[in-house]
Amino acid sequence: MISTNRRVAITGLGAVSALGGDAASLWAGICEGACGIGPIESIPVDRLTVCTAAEVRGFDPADHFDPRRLLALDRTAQLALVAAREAMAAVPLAGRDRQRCGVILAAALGQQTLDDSYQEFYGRAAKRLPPLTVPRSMPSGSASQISMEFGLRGPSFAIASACASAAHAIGTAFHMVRSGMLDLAVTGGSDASIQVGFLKAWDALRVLSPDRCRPFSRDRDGLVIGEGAGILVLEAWDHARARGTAIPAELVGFGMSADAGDLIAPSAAGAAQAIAAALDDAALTPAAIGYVNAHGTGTRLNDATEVRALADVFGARLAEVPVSSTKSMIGHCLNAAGALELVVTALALRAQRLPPTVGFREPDPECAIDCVPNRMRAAAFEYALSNSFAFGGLNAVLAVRRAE
Amino acid sequence: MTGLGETNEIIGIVATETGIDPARLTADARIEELGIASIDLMQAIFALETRFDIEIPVLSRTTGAEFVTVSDLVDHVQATIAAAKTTND
Repeated sequence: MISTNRRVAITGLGAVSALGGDAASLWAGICEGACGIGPIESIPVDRLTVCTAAEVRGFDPADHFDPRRLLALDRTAQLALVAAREAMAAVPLAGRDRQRCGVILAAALGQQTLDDSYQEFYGRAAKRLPPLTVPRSMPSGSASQISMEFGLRGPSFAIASACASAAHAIGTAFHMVRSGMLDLAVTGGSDASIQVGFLKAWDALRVLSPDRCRPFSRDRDGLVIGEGAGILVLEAWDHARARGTAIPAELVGFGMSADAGDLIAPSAAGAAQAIAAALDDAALTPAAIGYVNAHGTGTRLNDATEVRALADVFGARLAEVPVSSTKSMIGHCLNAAGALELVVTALALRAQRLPPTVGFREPDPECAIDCVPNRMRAAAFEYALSNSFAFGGLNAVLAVRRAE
Repeated sequence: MTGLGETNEIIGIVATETGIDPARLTADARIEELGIASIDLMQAIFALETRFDIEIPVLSRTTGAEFVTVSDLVDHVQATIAAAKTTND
């Protein structure tokens, strides 16, 4: 029953982001070069220095969940479940061994629940907190909710590596399906980080742009926090093929590394090691890669370091490899970032189009790459990479192939 | 508030928080047999505490099992409300 190195198909995609409530609206926004970043509307900003974010607008939980279920759902889990429902819509569960279906997600605290409870307890001297405060805020909450919603009883858990969490989760799920431990994995990440207390903490790091995320542009001045969820369904390739389902893309490689250096400043060597490891895992050479979905946060240091890492792996050929940042459109979705960006990368492979980096104004000699500035382009490419490099120096890179 | 009005309000809160038809929440109905999940009972107790500004002690050892019937719960809440009033006076 257990085989080794099975091929792994991506058979379901779901997304909730600042560009809309599903993967189709995310992709439509990407194709238009739309930007979901704007003034914060969902929370009070009077005590924040930076009042810009990529919010999921117009999301009414009551459209998706009954009031009693909502008692148990932080906004993080709400977004995760909506994206999971979309991703699972095309994946029949009847007749499956549910013990071989699991949920591997990025760990994400229920920030809304924690922020509300702290405000109630310390700010308003509340005598008591809602009884579901703990299960709503636990970092594995979204994984539990998805497993419960679909009755998936195989190995399920949540993985933490800050901004690389979703990529580590997807990579782990990929290896588990590839090795035969799971036949189906629901994977990705969700984050509803636009909460006053959490954004105040980000203010203190002095990495936030006051208005716009402009990755690779000479005048870039920081990242913009986003919220959303990206969920993918991974299945053993032969099972998916036998069912005759549409396969947008195939996951082919996963590489990880740790900088073991600075807590905040990224390392080109650490990032390059993860990129090389993903290529190695996929048995690919750099020459095979036709597009890189960058970590591309829009901070001065990240983008220049990422380009140095890519140059280290790709050499002179980097000039021919388009590298763009989805964060320019949906912000940095933290625990969901790697998942939403892999959704975009898979859709790009299927459409044979290169997602742009929007907000780009001026080339930077430190970022001498083709960042697909401002407009989507058509291209013929077979393989792509999706990079995630986290604070704390934890790196994860996924390699994806166009499904034939 | 009259005792009956208060009873009805308590029953109403329990019904809302547990999703159980209030008609089933008769005085001698057993909470376990009504199928009230422990987290729903905790939610109902939280709502009752908030509404009446009282503390309803529930031991983690028993997690609500001290209330066998609906009237046990109502009596307990009403006694706690009465005790709080006495203290406040």
